[in-house]
Amino acid sequence: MITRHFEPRQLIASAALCATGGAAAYLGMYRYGLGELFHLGAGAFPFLLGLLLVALGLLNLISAFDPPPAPTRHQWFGALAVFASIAVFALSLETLGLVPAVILLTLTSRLAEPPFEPVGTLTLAAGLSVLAYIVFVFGLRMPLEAFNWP
Amino acid sequence: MLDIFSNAALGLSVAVSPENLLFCFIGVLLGTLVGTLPGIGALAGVSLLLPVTFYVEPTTALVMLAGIYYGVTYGGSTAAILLNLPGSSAAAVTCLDGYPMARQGRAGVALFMTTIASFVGGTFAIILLMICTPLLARVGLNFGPAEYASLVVLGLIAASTISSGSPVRGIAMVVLGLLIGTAGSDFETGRLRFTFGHLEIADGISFVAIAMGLFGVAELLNNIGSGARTTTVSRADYSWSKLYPTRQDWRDSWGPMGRGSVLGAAFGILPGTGASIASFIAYAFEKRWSRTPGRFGNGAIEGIVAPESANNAAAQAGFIPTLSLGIPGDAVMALMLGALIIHGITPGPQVVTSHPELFWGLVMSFWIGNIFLVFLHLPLIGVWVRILLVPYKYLYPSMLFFICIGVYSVSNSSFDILLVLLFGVLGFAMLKLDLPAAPLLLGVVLSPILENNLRRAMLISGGDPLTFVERPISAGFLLAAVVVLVFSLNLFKRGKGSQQAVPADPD
Repeated sequence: MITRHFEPRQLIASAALCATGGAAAYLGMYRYGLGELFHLGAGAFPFLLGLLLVALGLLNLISAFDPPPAPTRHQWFGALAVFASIAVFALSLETLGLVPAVILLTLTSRLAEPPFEPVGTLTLAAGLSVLAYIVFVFGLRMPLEAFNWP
Repeated sequence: MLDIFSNAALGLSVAVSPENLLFCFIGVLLGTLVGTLPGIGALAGVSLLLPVTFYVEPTTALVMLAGIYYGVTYGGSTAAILLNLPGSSAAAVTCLDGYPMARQGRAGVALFMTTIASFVGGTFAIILLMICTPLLARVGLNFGPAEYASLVVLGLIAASTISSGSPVRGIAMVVLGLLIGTAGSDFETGRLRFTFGHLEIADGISFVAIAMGLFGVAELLNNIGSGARTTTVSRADYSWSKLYPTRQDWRDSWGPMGRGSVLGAAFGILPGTGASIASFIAYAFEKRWSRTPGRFGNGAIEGIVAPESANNAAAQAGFIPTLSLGIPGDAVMALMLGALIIHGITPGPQVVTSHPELFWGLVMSFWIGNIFLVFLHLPLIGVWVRILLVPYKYLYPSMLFFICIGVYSVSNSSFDILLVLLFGVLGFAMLKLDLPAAPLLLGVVLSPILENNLRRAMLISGGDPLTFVERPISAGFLLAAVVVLVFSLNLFKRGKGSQQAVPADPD
C-alpha cells in the first residue's frame, strides 16, 4: 500500500490533519481540562478526538491516494474571485446597503467564469438587486437598508 | 396495526394543512429544479434552503427539506435521459439506458416510466417507513447512554467508510467534524471551547454556515472552470401519445420496479449506502437477472426503471434510521437532523412518541409530495427541459447571492457570512486534497449527542471505560463497527478495480 511516487498533496493533507489534531489535543488537555474518568472535563472529548486525528493523519500517509486533478490556473482564479465576492458582500451589506452589496457580489463573482460580458452581468446584478429588495426587505422585513450611503 | 391507521389519520390532518401543502409543493418543485440542473445536487439544494426553516414550524421545515431531497431523485433522471448528463449522482446509472432510449426517439417513454418507477419505489419505502420506524424507535428507547454512544460510533463509521474511496480519510473527516461540533460552550461546565475570542460562536458554529460553505460554495467552485456547458437538446416530441409506453414496456417494467424498490429500501436503511449505491446495485442486479443482458446499455427499459425505483426507495427509506434512532445515514439526513436541532428538538428514539404530529405529518406529506411530483413531471417535461438550458454563468452568481443572504437572515449577522467564506475555503481545499466533505457534516451534527452520551456513560459506570464492551448491546454495536471497518479496509486493499464500479461520491 506504499504509494509509488511522491505526492505533495497527500503530505499536505496529512500535515494539516496532524497539526489540527495536535492543537485540539493540546488545548483539550491544558486549556479545557480533562477532568476525572468518572467525570470527564470539557477537554476530554476534544483531547481524544485530537489524538485520533493525529493517528489518522499519519495513516493517511500510507493509504492509497487518488487525488482529483490539481486546480488549473483558471480554477485558482475562479476560486479567488468567488471567495472575494463573499468577503465583499459580508463587508458591504451593513455598511453600504443591500443593493450595492448585491451588485458588488455579482460583479466580483462573474470574474470567475470569463468572458465577463458587461451587459449580461449588469442585467443580472440589477435583476438580483430588485429581487433581493422585494423578497428580503419588503417581503421578509429583514432589517436592511437598500442603500446606506454615509 | 390499528395504531398505524389512527396515526396515519393524525399525520394526514397535519400534512394537508394549507401551510404544509404549500411548503411540500415548494420543496418538490425546488427539488425537481435542483435535480434537473446539472451541477447542483441534493446537498447543495437542501443547504441553500436551510435558512427558510427558521421562519416556519419544525414539521413544515422538514416537509419542505424532505420534498427537496426526494424531488431531486425524480428530477435527476431528466438530464440523464435527455443529455446523458446525470443531474444528480443517483441518476448516473439512468444514463446508461435512458440516453440510448432518447436517441431511439423514446425519450418520452423513458421519462414517463422513470416517473412511474420513482413513484412505485417511493410508495414501497413509505409503507416500510410507517411500519418500521415506530418499532425501531421503541427498541431505541431502551438504550442507555453507553448503547447510544456506541450506536452513534457505528453509524458514523458505516456512513464514512462503506461508500468512500478511502476509509482513512472518511473517518478523519468524521473526527474533524466531531471536533468542529465541540466549538462553543461546553454543555456541562459552560467552558468556552475553540471560540478563539469570538463570542458569536459561543452557541456553536452556525450549522447553516457550515453546510452552505462546504456544499454550496465548494460545489459551485467545482463546476467553475470545468468548461462552459454548451448543451443543445434535440427537439424531441413530448406530446402525450409519444409519452405513453407500450404494453410490452409495462410488462417488462413491473418486475424490475418491484426488485428495485426492495433493493433500494434495503440500501436506504443501511447507513453509508444511499441512493447512488442503491441505483447502481439495482441496475447490476437486473442485468444479471435478465435473460437478455445484451439489451442493457442499448435502451433496455429495465435498465432505467430498476435504478429509478431503487434510488427513490432509498431516499425515502433513509428516513427510517434518521427518525427512529437519530442516526443519519448520509449528509442530507444530517441536514434534516440539523433542522430539528435548530428547533430545539433533540433527535433520537423519543421523537416519534413525543412529537407524533411531526413524524406522522412528515410521512403523510411524502405521499402528497410523491403525487405532486407525478403531476409536476408528466405534463411539464417540456418546461424542465428548457430549464436545462439556463447558462451556468447566470446561475452561480445567483446561487452565491442566495447563500450569502440566506445565512445572514438566520441571525442578521455578517459574521456568519464570513464563516461561510471560511468553510468555503476549507471545502475547496478538501476537494483538492481528496478529503470527503459529507462525513465532516455528519460529525458536526452528531458531536453533541456522542459527547453527551459518552460522558454520561462514564459517569454511570463510575469511570470504567470497559462499560462500552461489557454491556452486550453496546458491545454488539462496537463489534459491528469493527466488522464494517475491516470490511471496508479490505475492499480498499483490493485496489481500485473493485471500486471503479461504485459511482463516485454521492453528493
